[in-house]
Amino acid sequence: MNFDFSYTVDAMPWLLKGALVTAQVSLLCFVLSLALGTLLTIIRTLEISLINAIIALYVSFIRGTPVLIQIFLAYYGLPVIGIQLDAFTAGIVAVTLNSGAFTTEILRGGLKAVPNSQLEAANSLGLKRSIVWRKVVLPQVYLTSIPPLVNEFTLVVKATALLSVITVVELFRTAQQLFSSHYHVVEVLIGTAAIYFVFCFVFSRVSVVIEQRFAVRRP
Amino acid sequence: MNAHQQFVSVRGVEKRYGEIIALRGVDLDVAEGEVVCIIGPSGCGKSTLLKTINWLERPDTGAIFINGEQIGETVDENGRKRARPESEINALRARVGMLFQNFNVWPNMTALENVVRPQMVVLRRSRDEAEEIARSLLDRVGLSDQIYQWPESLSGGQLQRVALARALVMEPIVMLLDEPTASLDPEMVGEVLAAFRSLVDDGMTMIIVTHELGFAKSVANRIIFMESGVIVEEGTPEMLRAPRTERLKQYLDLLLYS
Amino acid sequence: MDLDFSILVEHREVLINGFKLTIFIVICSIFLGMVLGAILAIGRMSQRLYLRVPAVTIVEFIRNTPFIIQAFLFYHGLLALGGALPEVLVGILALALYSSAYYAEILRAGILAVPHGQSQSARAVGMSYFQSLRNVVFPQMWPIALPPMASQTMSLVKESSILSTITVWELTLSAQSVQGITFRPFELFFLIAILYWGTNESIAFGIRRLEKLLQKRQSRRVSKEASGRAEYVT
Repeated sequence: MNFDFSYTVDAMPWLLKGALVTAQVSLLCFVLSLALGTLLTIIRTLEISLINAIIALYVSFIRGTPVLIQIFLAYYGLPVIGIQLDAFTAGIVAVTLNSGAFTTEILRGGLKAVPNSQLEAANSLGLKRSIVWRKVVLPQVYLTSIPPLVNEFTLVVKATALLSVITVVELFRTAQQLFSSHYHVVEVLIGTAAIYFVFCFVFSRVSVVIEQRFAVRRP
Repeated sequence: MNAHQQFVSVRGVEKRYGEIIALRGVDLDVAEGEVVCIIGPSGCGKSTLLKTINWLERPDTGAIFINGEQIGETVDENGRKRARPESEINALRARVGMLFQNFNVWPNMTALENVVRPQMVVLRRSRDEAEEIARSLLDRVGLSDQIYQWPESLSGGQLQRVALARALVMEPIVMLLDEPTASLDPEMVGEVLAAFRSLVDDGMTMIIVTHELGFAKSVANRIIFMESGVIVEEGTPEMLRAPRTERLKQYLDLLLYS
Repeated sequence: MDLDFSILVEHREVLINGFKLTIFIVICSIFLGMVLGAILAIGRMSQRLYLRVPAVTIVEFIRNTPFIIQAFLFYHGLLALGGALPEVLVGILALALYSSAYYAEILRAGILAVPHGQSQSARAVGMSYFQSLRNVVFPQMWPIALPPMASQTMSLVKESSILSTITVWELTLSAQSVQGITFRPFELFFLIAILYWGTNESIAFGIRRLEKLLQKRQSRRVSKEASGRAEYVT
């Protein structure tokens, strides 16, 4: 086994630059996905059958098909029906739509956990519907959903690695550019894997801490 | 008294779970054929003590002997403890029968299979032989009509009797009963205690953790009162009428008024 | 918008072969993954550090890194070590290891969900650890573990598409090759999306049927009229 880990060390500055892109893309996609999920969750409570059916179809499609295919459809497939997106935008769209489906389901579960009495109390006080949502319901939904949402974020981070396939220069693509020049693939990849690992591992631990801190506050 | 002369011997056993000290140095001797009942408030270490005897719990210090053999560990020439091989521990557990407060009958098997499977797996008997023996044992505990029933349709008293048959089928030399009637409705306690009484009559060595003082009085040769991980008082069933220590007195008063 | 779905028919052989390989890889990975997952689960729960630490490390590494990186590491790692395994095998190994980490967590949760007294009573009659697992714990664990196992398997189907990046000629790579000839990405990727989706729905359907079957068995058992020689065991 003749691996030369000086290549790992040398690659680090470049990899970290790529990691920055990964972080930015992940954050952007996650925030958008959260917005989308929140919107869909609210719309679902209106109980309009047609809209709910469309949402259900969207969720089922996303959950049943590979992310890679969704990325290809966004980048290669959309131009065919007239929507031209550059790689970066297509990537954001694909990952956001993907995560959005899961976020919707997570928030739906979180909504179920909010006691009906909360809604009743708010409504009986004569508060406007939007206020009820903003100040009473959503905060509780988000609070309950922190663990699965943090988990979803780590899934988004991992999904961004696939954007390398449509030439977005995030962490993995950077790694590929590096090892394609000197062919020390494993050394560079180990460094890459380590960065992803630290990212995801830290977030899942943070989620546990947050969960414990907020658990104390709940009655 | 030499540890090796008694049937079951517990010497200086201590056990802690993190901050909680369950057993603080317990010595216990049980002669062959003797019936010992252990009583005491919950959390005093009675169950833990019982579970160290068949090595389901490992004591932090101390030694346990059954029929002259040290179980779980041995002490080598240098005085160091060495764990005994799993196979020996398993073989020994087979000779020690145990009953639990919540029966622990296996729900994925019929009553009959609960008594057949241990024979096949541990004693390597054939299915036919195991079934024959199982049937007679289940008959002996009064369950011959229920052998093909699944545990979920059996009552608590029936389940504990299945557990009893399952333990007896291994031909144990000593029986450990951990609050065997605590989860039973009052109507069923009697039938289970009757089954235990017949075991006593057959000369089985038994260590019973219980709070059924009436039963303890009637079958025990000796009663042991534990509190906070130590034996506080021990003696004949007479001691329940005339407790020597203040703590036993308080415990008995508590039971009377509850 | 100018869509031509006939090319799907024209190039169906390549696509069908790709699909068949995907199914083959998935099935192999499920079985291998479950075996590895069981080993990792037992390692995770062992008291012996020399078993526990490697098991935890492997599981955490797999769960916190993208699968595409793992696939690349397998592929290029083997090349660097001088090995020359067919890509399909490398793909199966990578996918199996990946799913084993998740199966391990599911199995571990399932085993812990079975009441401790059950395994205690099994050990109390003299069964070894593995005998108690096989006779008492596993049979009780399956109904609990089945739903998460099913959903993990559906994940496996989707992740198999990533093997296209290490030149395994499964469905995704096959579609990409047809794309290169026909320049009809929308039709192609839409079709294979449907194929993946259909496969997963079939798995979900199968699991629902299985759950209903298990429930029927359960209610049959509870009936007081257990007549004759009913089955003894699950």
